[in-house]
Amino acid sequence: MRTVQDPTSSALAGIEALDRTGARRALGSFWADRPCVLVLLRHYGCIGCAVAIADLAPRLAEIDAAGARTVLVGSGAAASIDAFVERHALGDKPVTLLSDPSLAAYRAAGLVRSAWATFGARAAVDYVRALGSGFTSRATDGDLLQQGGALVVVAGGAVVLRRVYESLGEHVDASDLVEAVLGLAARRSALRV
Amino acid sequence: MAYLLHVANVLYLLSYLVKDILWLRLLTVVAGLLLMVWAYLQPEPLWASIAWNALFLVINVYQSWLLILERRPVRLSERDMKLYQLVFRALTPREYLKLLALGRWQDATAEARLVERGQALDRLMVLASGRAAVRVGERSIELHEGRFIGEMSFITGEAPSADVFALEGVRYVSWAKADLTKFLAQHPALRAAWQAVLGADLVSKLRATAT
Repeated sequence: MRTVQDPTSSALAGIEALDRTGARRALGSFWADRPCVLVLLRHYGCIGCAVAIADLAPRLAEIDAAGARTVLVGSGAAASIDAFVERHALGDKPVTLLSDPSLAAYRAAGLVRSAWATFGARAAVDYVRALGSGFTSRATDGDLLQQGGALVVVAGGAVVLRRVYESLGEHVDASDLVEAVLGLAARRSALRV
Repeated sequence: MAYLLHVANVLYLLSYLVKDILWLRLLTVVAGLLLMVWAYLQPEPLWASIAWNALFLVINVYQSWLLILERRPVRLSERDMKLYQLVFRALTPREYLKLLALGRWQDATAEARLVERGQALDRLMVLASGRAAVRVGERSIELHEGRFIGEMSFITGEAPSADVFALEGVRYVSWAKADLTKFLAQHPALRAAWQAVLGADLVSKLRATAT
């Protein structure tokens, strides 16, 4: 996993992704007034993404309380969003699910698309490890070769954290995302101690 | 003496059936001991078998001891318990003890300056008793027992933008920032629970300063 310094999210801001109804939503609208944790998943049946969601889901309320939005983007069809939300019990969580079958957001975020990252030795180890933890893989729903990533974007568009995954099993530690968001919240305080 | 061998193997069998790792190790220890006695009592003692089983025994006894240490009941003093109830209920008592062991109980008198504006803060504190005030010019908020001091600097790495004074005699726990950061990096589960505690405190302070 790479940590990339990126001063701006302008390339991402104008990209539109689909919500569960198929309506287009500009990604930039999610960080226009509040910080945003943007997590780009692989496809909706991905076992690595299931692990990532299991790590992140219990922390979504903390991110929300610290004043940030969380947006998850998958590469599958918008019609699959509801089933994904139900499968991962995200319905009552402060999170927005979007789809980007065009992969435009992934390209703008500089994420990896690679057969080796999906089928290579490291991916195989990640896959077996996830299976051993009780996660399951489902039918591919989206781009099989596209890898994920995560960004924390502040209101206005500067990126304060960007992680680029190089294997299907990689995901940012949810504590790193919470820490980034808490840091942003702390900086907003006039009485900062 | 063959019965020693059979009893030892029955114990091994049982150890493979139990799910609890401590019981598995303890059964293995007893089985290994019996096996060593059996090997010694042979007309020609089986030293190789005794040596290997002695090695397994040492490893299993050591690991069992660690497990027992981890599982023994946690006893908190009245002072520690009060702070736990006030602030750290999201942590298990054992996690809390680990955290406390890293910090230091300290006292300060009324009007003592706990934090100086603009000066890098190398510690994080939590008030166990008494009141303190965060001040910048005319603006001020009061901190009561159970509130953190220095958490924003801890999270951002930046110098504080306000002073903090004790309004009366205060007692607090203080952690060296570097020690705490290193400790939390080594304990991911505790780091998550710690963030939840710190985050809740931070958010309530932000709400207080916004009103």
